[in-house]
Amino acid sequence: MSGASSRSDAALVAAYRSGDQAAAAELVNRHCGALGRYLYGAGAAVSDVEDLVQEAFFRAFRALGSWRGEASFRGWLFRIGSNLRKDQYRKDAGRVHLPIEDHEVTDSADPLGEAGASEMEERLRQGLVRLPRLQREVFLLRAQQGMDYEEICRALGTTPGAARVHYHHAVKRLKELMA
Amino acid sequence: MNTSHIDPDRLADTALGTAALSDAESAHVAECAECRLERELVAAAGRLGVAQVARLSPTRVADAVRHRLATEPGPPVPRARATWLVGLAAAAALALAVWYGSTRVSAPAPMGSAPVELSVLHELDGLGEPELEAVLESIPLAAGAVFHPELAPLDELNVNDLERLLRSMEE
Repeated sequence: MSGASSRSDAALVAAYRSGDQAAAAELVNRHCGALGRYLYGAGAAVSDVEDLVQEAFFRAFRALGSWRGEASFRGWLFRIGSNLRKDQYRKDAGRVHLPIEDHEVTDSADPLGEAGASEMEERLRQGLVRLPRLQREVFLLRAQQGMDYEEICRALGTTPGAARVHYHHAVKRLKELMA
Repeated sequence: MNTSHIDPDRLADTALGTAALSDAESAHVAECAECRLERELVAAAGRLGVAQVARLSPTRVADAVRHRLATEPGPPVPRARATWLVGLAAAAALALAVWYGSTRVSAPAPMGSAPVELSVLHELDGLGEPELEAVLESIPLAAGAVFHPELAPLDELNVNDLERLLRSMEE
């Protein structure tokens, strides 16, 4: 798979459509972690993240024929992941997974700083799950994934203006919750 | 403290590292707890889940996806496409029926009877030609499926069809 990492997502999708299985593996390798973090931030349990990520990629590759490239592959993948998380949330009757094992602190040369960062992140996550879904997803795509509003609106099926409003509302609400 | 806060998008860009705070903005953030919190929120979002998904293996995910793509059946044909196929099949069937009917004008049969012709003809196998003609004359054409001998080439019509055609022209 030499050189695959330098290819764009669109080029990898085209290669996969032509039968290049390594291109699919490269797309998974490229977006797997980000999608997992996004789903975790959206309230998925750590134990569910891998299944959700796998399901999102499976659905994405199986439906690549319907992907016209209007949205980026990443945005399209995150939209699938977002819908999966929404379905899971409904099946769980609105339960949000905040298990105690999620409060993990990794080894660090700065354990106090790491613990502080983890506490901030955990408070953020608890705040996020209290936001309306679109506010939460826009915030995560903007602040966690670094997407611009054009990409966000294509991923979530909204408009750039609406995405901006959702982001501002999310920030305001999170600040209130965390102040 | 300056009450004019930094725009949330500007703060996000600087927290994400895609832009840098100016000196004035840095001074504001240093004094403004609200803007500082907002910037920390975005920074925390950037770290959110990093440790939790560290065990996620892209290779394992890719292998599982590849296996499922190879073994699990594809999605059902979308309804719109299925409807289109049904329409196409119906059009093809209609065209076949019309074509079949046009090739059978010398032995007129109600339109649409072609698919059941075999079972009907088996019951008529034992009848002679005059009896068959009598039966044919006695069968009313199916509702909405009127046979129009005038639409068939004249050289393909038998005597009875020609007589019916002439009668229809006299009426």
